[in-house]
Amino acid sequence: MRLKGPIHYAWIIVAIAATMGFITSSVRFAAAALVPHLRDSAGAFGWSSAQSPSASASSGLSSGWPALTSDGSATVTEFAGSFSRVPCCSSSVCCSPVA
Amino acid sequence: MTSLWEFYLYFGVILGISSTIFTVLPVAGITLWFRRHLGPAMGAVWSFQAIGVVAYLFLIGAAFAQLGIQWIFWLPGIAGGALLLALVKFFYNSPADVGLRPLGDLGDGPIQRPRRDETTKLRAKVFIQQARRTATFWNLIGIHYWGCMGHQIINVLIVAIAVDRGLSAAAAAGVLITQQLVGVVARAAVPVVAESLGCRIIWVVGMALQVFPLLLILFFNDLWAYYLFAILFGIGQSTEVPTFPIANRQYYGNVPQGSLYGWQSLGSGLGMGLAPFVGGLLWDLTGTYLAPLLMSLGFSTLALIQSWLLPSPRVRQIPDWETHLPANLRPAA
Repeated sequence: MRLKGPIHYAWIIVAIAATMGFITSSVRFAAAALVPHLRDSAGAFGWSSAQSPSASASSGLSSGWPALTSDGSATVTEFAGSFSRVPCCSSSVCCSPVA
Repeated sequence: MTSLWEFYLYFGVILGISSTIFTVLPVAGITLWFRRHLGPAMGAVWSFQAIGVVAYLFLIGAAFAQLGIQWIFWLPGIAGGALLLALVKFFYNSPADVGLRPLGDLGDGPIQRPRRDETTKLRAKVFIQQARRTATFWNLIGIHYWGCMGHQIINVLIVAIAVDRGLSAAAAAGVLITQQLVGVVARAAVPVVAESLGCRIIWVVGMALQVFPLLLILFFNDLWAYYLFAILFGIGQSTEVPTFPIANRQYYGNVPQGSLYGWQSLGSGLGMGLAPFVGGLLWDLTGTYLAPLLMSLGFSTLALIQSWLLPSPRVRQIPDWETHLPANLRPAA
């Protein structure tokens, strides 16, 4: 895909990545504001100080898995491709410098 | 959601994996698209992430009473998930996938499409083997680990700590919002400054701003102290994460960044995962918020020390790593 005009497609990639981060980071990191509700013993949950942020713990641990892929790398389309029919490429390919 | 294990599964595991796909991996991918201007590109990405956090905080503040906790999660989940799947269609792993050169690449040779052969895998493997032998490789992981431990305790528990010490829920949420708003600006600026001044000084100053402002809320329990803390700490924590892709390029050049960034993300993930849990556990055991605050202070101090120990980013690490490739794969002299 080529864009006609002065805008390099790299900036479109930045816009896409920024929007992706906007969506996923919001729920993940703003949930701290919900901790008092989750700890509220008069509310529906009443969890302890350790229990409430523990979900954040497993969330953080889950985020380390790219290092465990074949060469420590992975790509967006590789994992999301099965949903969107975007062709996938192998993880190491996408980390190779392009001549 | 009615029980704790469901919260762990949905928010912890599933959201953790999906957010990695859509935050960590695009950041590694962007480095392939830029030979120049990587700083502004990273600044835009990280700044938008901070805007997302602020937007969600406002959603919680404005609509929690009306929507309830269920729809506070469902609304961004459904709308955001649909948008994510649509955006993936337009994301390409490298410029060569669509016949382009990286931005700032002035080469005049033919554009090579990405290869899927063993050579590429071997190059990545040899590079990471060589990189692991440098102290800088482990130092960078350490900064991500200790730094994220230090600020994630605060990110997760600051509202609860402030409420516990007598601030109203609105004032406490305001502290977190202030911290994140400062982050919007700081995260946009930090990669640009890091590209110019070098990553080491950015981290030294940034980690110092993660350490010393904590003393403010340790010794003062006033609203002004919390908000001054939020501003300073917001700048400090914003220097850590966005600087890594810049630092990788400064220390290792145009190399396979995915593997480097993957290892660093593992450090970050472990840090962000363990710290709030241990901090919360100690809070339960000791009955005082001092435990997580002191933990954060200690972890951020370790990140500051590791930042100080980094070598100059002007000196390239393992510039000769390709000499460790099999003879037939080494570039011509």
